[in-house]
Amino acid sequence: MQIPFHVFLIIYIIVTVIGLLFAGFNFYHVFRYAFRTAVSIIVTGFYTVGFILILGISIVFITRVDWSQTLTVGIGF
Amino acid sequence: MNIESLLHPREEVIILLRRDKWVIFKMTMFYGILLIVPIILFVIIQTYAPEWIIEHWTDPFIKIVMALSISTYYLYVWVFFFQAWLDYYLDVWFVTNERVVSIEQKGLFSRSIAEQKLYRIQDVFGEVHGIVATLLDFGNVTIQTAGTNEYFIFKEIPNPHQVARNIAKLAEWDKKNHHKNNAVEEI
Repeated sequence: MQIPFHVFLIIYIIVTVIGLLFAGFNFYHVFRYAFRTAVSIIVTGFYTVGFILILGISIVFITRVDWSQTLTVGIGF
Repeated sequence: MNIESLLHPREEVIILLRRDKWVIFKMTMFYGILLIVPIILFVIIQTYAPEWIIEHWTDPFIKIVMALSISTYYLYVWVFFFQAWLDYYLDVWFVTNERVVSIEQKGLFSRSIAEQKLYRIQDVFGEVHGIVATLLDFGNVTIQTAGTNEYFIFKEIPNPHQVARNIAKLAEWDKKNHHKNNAVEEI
């Protein structure tokens, strides 16, 4: 059986979207409930930069992969 | 949101409290360790079993799975790190010249705001438990009131005994002057 690599990409995208949802909830809570202070602005900015870094590095890697490759599973007779 | 939006006219914040810095330090250390663990594991493997990396890292499937797993791991650790910080930052207790307000964020989408007039405070006491709490002087302040919400608990705040004394003084002052202030407002 041959499994194309892009199946793992699809799983990764689904998991990432769920993570993005949680990140969205976090931003919602900051904008709605957090007091506007230097601390909240700095920490939110730091978090956003880290978040973009993680996503950016992941995207750079993903674009370099040949997703048309396949994984062979099982023993052929 | 600004704190002024929560205040009545002529109301001033006298004491604004959050959990002690130790709480945020503990949380930062925990998530910092989680962020560093994959790097440490990689360094250890590279030092003691470099042939394992050479053998497995050249396989495109393993390379992809490892990279996607690490990306997912860091993404979720970062998200939950910020969530933990929000849980700390959105818990606020403040005392004004009129009332005590407790705002607590209990996880995602669960938030409670309670308030009570100062003159309805019946008892205030501070507690410090544990070695770290004793050394760093943080703990809980419990305020007993004559209302539906019988107890307010300010959790893990710095200088709890001093804060309890200050709240007790404010409550005493408000009880003496509350009727005078009301008469002035009615006029």
